[in-house]
Amino acid sequence: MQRFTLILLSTIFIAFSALPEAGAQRKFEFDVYTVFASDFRHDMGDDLCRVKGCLKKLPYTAYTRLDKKHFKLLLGRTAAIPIPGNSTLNVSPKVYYGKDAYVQVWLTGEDKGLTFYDPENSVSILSGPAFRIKDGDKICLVGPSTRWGTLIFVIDTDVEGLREKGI
Amino acid sequence: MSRRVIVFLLLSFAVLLAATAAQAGEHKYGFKVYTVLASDFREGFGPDLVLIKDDLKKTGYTFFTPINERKLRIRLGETQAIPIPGGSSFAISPKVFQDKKLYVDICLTGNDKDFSFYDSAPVIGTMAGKAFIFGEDDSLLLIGPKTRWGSIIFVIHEIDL
Repeated sequence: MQRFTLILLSTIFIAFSALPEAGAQRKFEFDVYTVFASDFRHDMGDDLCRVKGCLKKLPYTAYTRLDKKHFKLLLGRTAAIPIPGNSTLNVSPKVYYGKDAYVQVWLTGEDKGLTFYDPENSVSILSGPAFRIKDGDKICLVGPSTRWGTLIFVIDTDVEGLREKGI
Repeated sequence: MSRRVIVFLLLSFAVLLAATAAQAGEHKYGFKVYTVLASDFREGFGPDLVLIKDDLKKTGYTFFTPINERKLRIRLGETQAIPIPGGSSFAISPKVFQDKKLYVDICLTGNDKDFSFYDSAPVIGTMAGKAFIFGEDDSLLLIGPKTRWGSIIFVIHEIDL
């Protein structure tokens, strides 16, 4: 019986120690769109049709795609995306809880002082504020501005959907 | 030659002159204007810039994306303006057509009205002020206002005289 208990305990211990390993191996797959939003005309670029719904909620009339990048990251890793104005957008998936990913987003460089978080759109995790993104969802973040307009970042996690549609 | 014939000839000549002048006033000069956002944060060319790629490379920027493309047809003395980001407009006004050359005034209006394209480009003075000279199918690249993101570039292309 003692031997059986020992085996059982070892199995439970191994299973528990493997759990975080499995979580850490899970990858967060997403696209990041960098969009220049302005008011000088009415236009939505054809290359923005995937994120149109998200952008239409913003108070701008012209949207031009500047960049689109695809990532598949291990939890804890960071994607760094250069943006105009000597800054970089950083996206880091921290943890998964069911189908929800908790993702931290911040700027470095000249725009490092700008924060995307407010209590309504974010949650707190151990490493600080984060966005909760459901698999297949998109989030739209309003970034730095100049007198020309504003940079908008869209994080789109509907990558599986895109594959199914062959896009 | 009788006085009657001379009067008739003079009248015909006057009518012909008036008709030619009217026709010249009716003529519209064609321009294709690209408005491009130029920056350095990455490398590459946005779609639809193939025709002006070589012009853009001369600017020293590494990334170009089109933000507007317009075809204009403008009479002498008229002005047409294309809105650009920042509450300004890019205004084109053909002034004189002489010896198969078109003299065109180009400026910004609105918030960037103090910006001058003439400071950094070879231009000519006309009675109506400074102007750029265009021949058939010429093109012109102008570097416009800047912010910390880069510059707005204008390329005037496919000029139809």
